[in-house]
Order: sequence, then structure tokens, then C-alpha cells
Amino acid sequence: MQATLPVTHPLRGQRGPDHLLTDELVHSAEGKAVNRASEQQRQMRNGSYWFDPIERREVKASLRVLGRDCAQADWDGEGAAPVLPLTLEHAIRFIDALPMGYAEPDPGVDPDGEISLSWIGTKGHRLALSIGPTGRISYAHRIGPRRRNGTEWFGDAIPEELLESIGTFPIFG
Amino acid sequence: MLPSGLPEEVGDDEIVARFARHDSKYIKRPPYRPKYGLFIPPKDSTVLSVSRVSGKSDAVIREVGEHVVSEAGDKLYGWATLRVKAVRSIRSLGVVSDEPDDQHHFHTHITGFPLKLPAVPPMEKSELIQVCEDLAEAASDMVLVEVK
Repeated sequence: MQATLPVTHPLRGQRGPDHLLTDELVHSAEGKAVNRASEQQRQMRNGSYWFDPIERREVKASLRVLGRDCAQADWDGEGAAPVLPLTLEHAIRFIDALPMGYAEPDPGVDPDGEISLSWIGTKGHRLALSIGPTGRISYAHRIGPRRRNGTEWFGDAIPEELLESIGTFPIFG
Repeated sequence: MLPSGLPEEVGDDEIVARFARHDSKYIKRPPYRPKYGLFIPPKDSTVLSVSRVSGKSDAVIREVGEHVVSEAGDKLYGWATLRVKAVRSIRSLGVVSDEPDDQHHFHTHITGFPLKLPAVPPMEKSELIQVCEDLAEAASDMVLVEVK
């Protein structure tokens, strides 16, 4: 079914069965519906390490390393809080919930034990968020002079507004 | 005059360096832009330690950095620099010297972060992330040291 969709725009991502996602498909109402259906399929067969593209596997592996390295209090020598298993679980679920065709983040850890995810684009274009054990997401996004920050809660899906912010970063940036 | 011989007042045109320890939590993959985590104050603090490095060569900055991170029993991974004027232009951030003794030459604080971690609601951690992102955006690319 997917193979019959016309592709008239440059491919946004060239991996797996999601390679038909173009910018237009990602951002139009029809595209979002197709994207959701495709994403549901991916997640049904997924939850599995082996279906992840290599970049995503690397991010998740880095997260696990950070979770292990920062599992004890004072991991920074300055009194930092430990990364709790639930925090790591939320962060990995967030990565799993990120649809194909979106840029992968760089992970880190904050002194309060929350896991941070950063997207860094061209000059003045940055997005950073941190996710904690309750699923609270604190984020800050800037594109040139436009800036936005706030709090969202992570349930089963990435909040739409946050997903739109992530979508402003090119996947091969 | 401070123990290092520098004036107590930190000038707008001075350069300060933030040192990263031997790990990659704070740095994006090539081209090695600093992430906000490099500029987030430690837990329960609203100040961040940096060092005054105006006019110093990379070799000297590295020496200063190795001294700084060795106090925490760690290795130096690299550093990013900031112009003091750029720091002071971000919200209510300030830059003040802090050399309590001979072991802290060039030591300086960036002050005025909007809140301490952990941020318990209704405190907005995103305010702190925004400020740290502004610092990361204003900072130079990372200079990485070759790890032995």
C-alpha cells in the first residue's frame, strides 16, 4: 500500500518502510494521519532493538550508559542526584515515541538526575528538554529571535507542540 | 588585586572558560558545540564556576583546566569560552571574581541563574534551561584535549 504513494518531494528519511515520509507528508493533515498509521505499525513490530535504525540504537545505547554511569548520587562530584530507573525508562520511551524522519537528539544528564535531550541546528537554532521520573518535560526552544520555553507531560505520545519543534531540525544536520 | 594578580573587577571584554570533564555529557558530536548541560549550575546552587583566561594560550588554558578538574578527581575533556559581555547580556546573569586562596587562581563565578535544582513545581526548570541554552549558544565551539 505504501509503495503506491507518489513521491514528488525530496525524501526526508531514507530508512526502513518510513522512507516515503516527505516534508509535505509530515506536515499536512493527511500526512499526519499517514504518519500516525505508519508509526502505529512501526511500534507494533517494534519495541524491538533490531528494528531501530542505527542512529536511534546509538542514542538509546548512550542513554543506557548515562543511566548506569549516573545511577549513584554525587556522580558529578558536586552533589548531583542519581538518575532513577524510571527516568531512564521515560527517556527511552520518548526516543521510541519519536516518529521516523525526525532528527535524533544528543542525550545528557542534569545535576537533578533528569535526562536531557538536545537538538542543535545552525546558529541560533536549538532545542533542549529534560525529562524526569514523573514524566515532566521541561523544554526551551529557539529559532533566531523566536524563543519558547515551558513544561509538558509525557504520556503515551510526544506532545504535538514539542514534536513540531523537533521537526524543525534536519535529520542529517 | 587578587592572588592571581588580576583585578577584582571582571571586565566586559574578558574571556572566561568553562571546563568539561572527561565525558561526553556536555558536548554535541562534531562540530562539538557545547550543550546546555555544560553551563548548568550544580545541584542546590545558582552560581557556575568558570576561569578567566583572556590572553592565555590553549596550552596555558589547558593547564588551568587540568588543575580545576583534578580537584574533582577527574580528567579534562575540553573547554568552551565566553565573552563576559555576552554573559552579562543574558537575563540577570553576572560575572564576579572568586579567588579565596592561592589554589583558585583565575576562578570566577557566573551568578544570577533563575533557580536552584531540583526545580520543584511551581518552579519552572525550563527557565533555567533557557538561560543555559543562551550561554551554550553564546559560547565558542569546544576545544577538545587529547585524552592520554
